[in-house]
Amino acid sequence: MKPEIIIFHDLCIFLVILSTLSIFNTKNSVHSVFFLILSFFFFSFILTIFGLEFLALLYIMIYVGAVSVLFLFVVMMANTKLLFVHSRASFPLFISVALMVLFPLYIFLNFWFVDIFFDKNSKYAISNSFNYPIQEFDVLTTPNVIGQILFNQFGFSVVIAGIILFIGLIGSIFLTIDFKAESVLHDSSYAQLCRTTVTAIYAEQKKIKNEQSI
Amino acid sequence: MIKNQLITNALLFVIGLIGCGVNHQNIIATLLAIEVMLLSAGLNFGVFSNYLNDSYGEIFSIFILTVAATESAIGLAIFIIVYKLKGSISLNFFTFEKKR
Repeated sequence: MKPEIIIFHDLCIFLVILSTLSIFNTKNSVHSVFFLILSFFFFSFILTIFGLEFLALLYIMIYVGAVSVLFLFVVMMANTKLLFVHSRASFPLFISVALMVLFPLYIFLNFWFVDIFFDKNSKYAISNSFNYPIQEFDVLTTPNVIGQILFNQFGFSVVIAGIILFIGLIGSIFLTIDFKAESVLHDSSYAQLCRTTVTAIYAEQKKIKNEQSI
Repeated sequence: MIKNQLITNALLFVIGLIGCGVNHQNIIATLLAIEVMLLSAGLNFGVFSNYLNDSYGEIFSIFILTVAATESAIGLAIFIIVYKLKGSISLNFFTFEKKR
């Protein structure tokens, strides 16, 4: 690996941790969503460094393009800027607990876990036996490989993921709907089911237009 | 390089966990903490799929992405309901006391 890439990777790691910590350190919720978008970008840089460029583009498309924009829309619509003035009260506690947990975790991972699993001479070393040089000449691209595995071996899981997304759609509509308001739900279901092409609205409009033209 | 990345993933997961647990003022920050935790788990799958030259990690990362999208949608729906009912986004209002 080239040293420039390693330095860029370290920079990306630093910026990811900084922007992730900044999510919980802002007074305004809109700013914390912006910091989340920033950390998503650096995450996708890291994925690109590791050679997972399809996954990086997918993360940018779905997280930044859909999820974060949804968050931003809801936060800006709710306009909660003035409502949590004392939100920084728990931040020193957060920092102290984080340091107490993270520093031993760093030591643990650096001196025990990594040396055991990533040293080639170790007994518990993870085997890397699939690293053939012929994969450089392989004509299968990454979306091709992912699609083949996804639809051949994980077909049932894809169906379950679709059901989960459908539950999310129906659940969010059902939760946010206002049953007391005069909405479409108070239409008579009998009148809806009796509707044909003759009695529909566009047929009426067409009839009116014809009468006007005559 | 993978060593640094794994340490970073664990660190981000712990940041998300602590941000989810400590924070009691803001629902949005809790949702963002859950997003960060799911993201670090997906990145861990991706890094190991690169290390082992195995595409299953990317597949599971895509499934994690699906779950994260659904979770954020339903969480924001609950946020809108609580904001409509209480006029506040504090997590302490989940006790649903009568506010005067």
